[in-house]
Amino acid sequence: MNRDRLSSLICMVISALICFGSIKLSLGRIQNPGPGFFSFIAGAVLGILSIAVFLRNFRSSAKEERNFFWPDLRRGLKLICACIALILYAIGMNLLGFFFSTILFLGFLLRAIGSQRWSLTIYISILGSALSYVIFQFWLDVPLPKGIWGF
Amino acid sequence: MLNDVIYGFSVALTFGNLFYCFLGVLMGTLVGVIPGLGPVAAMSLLFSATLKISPVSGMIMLAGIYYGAQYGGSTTSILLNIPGEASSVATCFDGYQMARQGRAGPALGISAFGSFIGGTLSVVGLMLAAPPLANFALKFGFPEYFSLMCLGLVIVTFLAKGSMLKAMMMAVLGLFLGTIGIDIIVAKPKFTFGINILMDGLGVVPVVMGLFGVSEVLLNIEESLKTEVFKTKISNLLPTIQDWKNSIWSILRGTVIGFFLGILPGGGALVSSFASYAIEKKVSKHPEKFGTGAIEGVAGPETANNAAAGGAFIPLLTLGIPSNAVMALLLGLMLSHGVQVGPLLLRQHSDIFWGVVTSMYIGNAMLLVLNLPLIPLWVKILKIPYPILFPLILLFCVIGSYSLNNNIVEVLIMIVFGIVGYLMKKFEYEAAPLILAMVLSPMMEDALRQSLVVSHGNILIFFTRPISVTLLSIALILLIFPIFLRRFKARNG
Repeated sequence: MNRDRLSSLICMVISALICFGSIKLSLGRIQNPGPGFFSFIAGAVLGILSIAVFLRNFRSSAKEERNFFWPDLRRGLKLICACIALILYAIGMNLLGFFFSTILFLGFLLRAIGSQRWSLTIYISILGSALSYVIFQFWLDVPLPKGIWGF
Repeated sequence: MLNDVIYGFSVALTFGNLFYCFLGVLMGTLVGVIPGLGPVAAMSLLFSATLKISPVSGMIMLAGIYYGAQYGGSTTSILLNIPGEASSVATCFDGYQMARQGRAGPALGISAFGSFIGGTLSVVGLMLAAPPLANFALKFGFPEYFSLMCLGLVIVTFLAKGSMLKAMMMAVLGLFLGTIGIDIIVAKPKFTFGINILMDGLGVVPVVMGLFGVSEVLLNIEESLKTEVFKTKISNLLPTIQDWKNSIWSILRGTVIGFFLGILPGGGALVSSFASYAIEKKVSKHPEKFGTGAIEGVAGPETANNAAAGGAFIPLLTLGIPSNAVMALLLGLMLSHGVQVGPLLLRQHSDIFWGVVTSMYIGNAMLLVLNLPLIPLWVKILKIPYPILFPLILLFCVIGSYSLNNNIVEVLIMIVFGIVGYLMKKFEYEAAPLILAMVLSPMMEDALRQSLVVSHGNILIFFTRPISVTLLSIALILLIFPIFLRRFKARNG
């Protein structure tokens, strides 16, 4: 198993899904192509190319890679935590409002992932949140989400 | 022509536009200096703010960010051996060595001057080449546009760093992603899965910020969070006469290389800087000095990447086709303002064209003045450790994508593409072909379908029209060329 074999397999699945979806949208006739025409071609080409990449990596001359994905499991877990934090931050913004959710977001990233001291974490979270609130909401006139308590 | 230039200056030299130009180049330099935060992120952040000002002012500011970032990227390359911008990688090779020999000052100096010369001369090129090119493009019909965009995508995959096959896979995937939204002809939603905001399609900004900005941060979180700080004093910023003598031809060559490579889709600053470095090494009388601190190795690439920024505007302003992710954002800006892009831009919105072009002269001059004195400031900023910087980078990305439509779905799209971009980096797939294809996709689909309707289903229409068949032939040659190259190499051992 190596990088390219795995990724080309994934792309083959994606291409099948794209083609299937495109057919459902109707391909039309060549004189009058339908909505699914272009995406079907794109999906089909993707499928053909993925098969080519897969076959290229099937010969014995292809290199074997083990453990190419996350050599350091701890850092991989940090990555997953950061992603979850991002998603929760995006969803939570509407609930808690920009100001508070940003403090929590910055704080979590600084402390849990960046391993900073508590004092620095709190200082930067609050400062960063307040500064961006002022710059974007008031100076640049960009509306930021307000939470259940109005700001 | 002279009238147009004077008109352009009258637009660019207003108080407001001078301010926006200054703001743009300042932000651009700052963003170029900070590793991991690129011009794309900065432009996206200010994108929604630019919707409230006139399209001219918005374009001037965003353009300033783009070429400003090229200037800023060189600072970190020379001082820290960390390219602030992908296009500054080539500068690291000799620039960092010069810094280690105590010659950081001249390296930064020649890089600033080279960037200025490259940037200014490429704007001259833009000014001279764009009007005739736009006139020529007026002859283009649907089949020609389709073939041109096909060629553009083939060039992007050809110039891609890794495997061309994998780059093509990303390109067609991008073509698919561009189809998401409401069908132009039939008014049916495609692949929207009931999510309202997808009716307008996947926005360029969230996808670009995710693929380039967020994914970079995620990669850094997983791979390492350390940066080195270079502890040295920077004195004597001016290059010596000898330095100038050594560099002047590199600068001129870099300008030409950068300008022409910048025009190509997928070309741009990155390819130009590497090409310039390679060529400087080849033509030098002392190639062994490269990699140890040869000033030509700094002057050439730095000039080339700024010249490429100028060249990259040509396809956008004359044909309405973006040549890289940054241009794609500018295209999005113009479309949001209802500006008609394409060859008619020069006629209908000459204030945008000439205003932006002349502002680029002004911007390059501002950057020259800004860069040298502000270097100590940039160095201070660079001392901020990455573990503190990256949460702020993510914060700006989130604000940037939210501010487009006040919708968290766009933020979520950005995060999804951040993860996708991270996976792409891990599995060694290029992001540039994907984003270019995604932006070109609606136009390509429209051109294809209209061509087929007009020709009553006859595919030969693409091959019987002279301009179209020429474009497609070039594309075919580029596709087949690597195969022949490999066979040739194999045969000759």
